[in-house]
Amino acid sequence: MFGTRYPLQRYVSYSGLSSPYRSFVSNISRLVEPATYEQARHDPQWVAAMTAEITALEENHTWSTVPLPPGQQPIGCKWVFKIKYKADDSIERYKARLVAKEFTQREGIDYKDTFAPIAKITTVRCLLAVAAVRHWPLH
Amino acid sequence: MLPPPGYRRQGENTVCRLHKSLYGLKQTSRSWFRRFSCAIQEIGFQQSRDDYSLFTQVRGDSITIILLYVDDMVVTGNDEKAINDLKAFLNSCFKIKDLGPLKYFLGIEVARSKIGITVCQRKYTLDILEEAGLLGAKPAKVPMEPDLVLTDTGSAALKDPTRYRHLVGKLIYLTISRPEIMYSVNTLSQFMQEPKLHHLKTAHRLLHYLKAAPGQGLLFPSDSPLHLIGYCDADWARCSITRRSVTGYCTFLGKSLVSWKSRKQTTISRSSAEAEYRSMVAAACELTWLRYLLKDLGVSHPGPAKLFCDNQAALHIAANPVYHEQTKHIELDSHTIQERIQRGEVKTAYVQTGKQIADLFTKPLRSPAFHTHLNKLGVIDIHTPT
Repeated sequence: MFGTRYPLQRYVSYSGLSSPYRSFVSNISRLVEPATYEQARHDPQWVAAMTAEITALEENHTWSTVPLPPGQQPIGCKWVFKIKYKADDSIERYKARLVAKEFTQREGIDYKDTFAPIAKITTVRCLLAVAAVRHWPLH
Repeated sequence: MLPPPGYRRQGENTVCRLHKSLYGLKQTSRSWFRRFSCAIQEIGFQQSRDDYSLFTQVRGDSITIILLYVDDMVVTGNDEKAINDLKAFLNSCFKIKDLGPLKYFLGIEVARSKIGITVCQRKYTLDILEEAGLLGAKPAKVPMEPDLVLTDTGSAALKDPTRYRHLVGKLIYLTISRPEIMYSVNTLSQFMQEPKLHHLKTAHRLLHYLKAAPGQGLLFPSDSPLHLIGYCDADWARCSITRRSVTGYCTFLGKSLVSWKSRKQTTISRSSAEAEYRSMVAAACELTWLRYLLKDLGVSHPGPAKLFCDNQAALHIAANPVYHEQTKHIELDSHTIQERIQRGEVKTAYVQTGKQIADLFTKPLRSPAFHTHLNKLGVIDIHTPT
């Protein structure tokens, strides 16, 4: 959420490192997750990630653009940038996700009900106990 | 919603009207649940009335069950084909990944063998220990000093109460697979408001106990019958501050422990029989709910559920709808148990105090008694070499 709060370069001097190790270290510190759109908009990789996210949202018909109705207050949104790593620490992809700012929503106006039921843990145990006896497969 | 940065074209003053949920909206989880439950009911699944996140489909002898936990789910049933059809449907509708046989659910490790299914939270326990810096701690035999009664005074207030709250919060989640720490965790959580040094010490003492067997968990044996048994107990005036009693009960499905509770009662009882009676009522309610739930899971339960109590007076109050001088102040709703007994849903029986397993949920026990009860709960450590 905050990018790299304490970038490596602030604490480490590269001058004492051997040349292959130096290139490795500088490669790590270059990979900074931007905190804001302003920081990300100059990097083509992040721009591509944002375009992909917008395309996905538009394909799902998540929104339509309309003029702001008079007297209404729009809620905010922001970009969250994340580098996804594979298990061997190589980069899988650059991911940009658009999130709404829930704290700008007001109860009764922007939303009514938020409750979503979740399973009681007793139900889970009960299900497992029955599944064990009846030899049901679990997925 | 304001258009995202970079989306707005020059000079336009438009906003985005949301038709669907976006990450971060307050109602995101709700709309996801609604969409899922509508889709699943369209293909013939029934939402359970006893746990809204449980969906079942019965076709003749075949039964398929889905248990939903936000975006995590367990699918089971006795019909492989129906399960595969369901998976294909879920994949086409929601792009849900099939992770194969259940191994993890909500951070709980699930393992299966011939003797049954085990659940444990080994990794979670180790994470808690590591966070508290107690990975190398000396193991303790029992979770709490026997007969310890915690009070709210006696030592200095903690400078950083958030850490205590954080720790206790994590321990509460750990009780999912560790019923034996339920009483201790419940006691510790009563001091969240203003934790003192001795509360933290007690919490650390509990961590020492966890260190002894982090991989301990519950076993659901496959050779178990499917009838409900409950044990209820109370400890009268346990809380020295409010003089309230503690309810403790646990319920079994055959040999498998499925639910338990340790809780301070909301009213003060005049006698130990009254405290026991209240805990009996709580246990009877739980058993009734479990009966309904079992029905949804396709398990018939013809006979009454057995409820064991070690207090003769409480058993008498429950059995005879007679007006007693000592019980006239007990709230009317408590007497639902008499109705349940008459209807044959619950049957009460006496158990000796020494064999009362629910003792574990009402007070900190000494080592031999603690471990005898623990064995009966079906708690095992699958990580110990045998």
